[in-house]
Amino acid sequence: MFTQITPMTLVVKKVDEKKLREFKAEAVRRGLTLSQAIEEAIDLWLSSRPLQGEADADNAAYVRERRRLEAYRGMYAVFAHGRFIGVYSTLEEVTAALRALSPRPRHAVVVKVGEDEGGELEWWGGSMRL
Amino acid sequence: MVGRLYEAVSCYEYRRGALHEYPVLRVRLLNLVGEELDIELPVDTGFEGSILLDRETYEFFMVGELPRSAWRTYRTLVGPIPMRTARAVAIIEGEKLEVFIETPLYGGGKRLMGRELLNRLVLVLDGPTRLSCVARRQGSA
Repeated sequence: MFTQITPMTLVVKKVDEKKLREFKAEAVRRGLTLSQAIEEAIDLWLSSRPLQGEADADNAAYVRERRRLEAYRGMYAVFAHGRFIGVYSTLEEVTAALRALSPRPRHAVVVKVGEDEGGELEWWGGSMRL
Repeated sequence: MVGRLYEAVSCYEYRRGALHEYPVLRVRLLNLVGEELDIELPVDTGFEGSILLDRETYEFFMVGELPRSAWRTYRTLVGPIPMRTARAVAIIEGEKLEVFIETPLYGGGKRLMGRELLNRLVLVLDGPTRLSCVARRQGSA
């Protein structure tokens, strides 16, 4: 099947000027025209939505099971496809468990029980563009 | 502390910076389904985490993401930067190291290797020849 794509003109109002300036500069750095950069950004945004849905479901599954995991301190608990998959002693076992799932998940929550607790670290320079 | 000998195992050329060149290391990363990614990372001793990546590359590691309650935050001069955090395996000179991969929760991010991983390596930064080397200590001194 052949689908003809007709380029169209897009006018967008009330875009933050600073963000747009940075976006244009980044497009130039990557060797893209503005329209190519916008198309790439649209593709990226659309493709990330299902992944975000998986992440929400896996985190919800983790929250549901969190108390039950306390008995498995130091082991890796795995959540994928929105459900609890199992608890494993090593990362090799985690990999085997994830590879055995069908379809292969794009997102999973893997937590080392009692050890992964977040926290605040330091970053002296922080030259990152946000 | 003086008189130690180090044997360089693998060396990488510094990359051109804005004004001064900077050291980099190459590393093979595995996500938690065993897929590989070879990547070059600037060495940043000011970053306390393991590995920081841009958002697009980070998605490769989301198959081993920590729960949101365990994501980490960084104090910077411009305020706290919350990160998404995932687990991965780094292979450096044949040694497998469990590492955290991070990307900013908001914004694009950049590629860095920080102290959490650097502190597990023996590194030689040879500035005059612009080489960063993973090394081994010679003898037991």
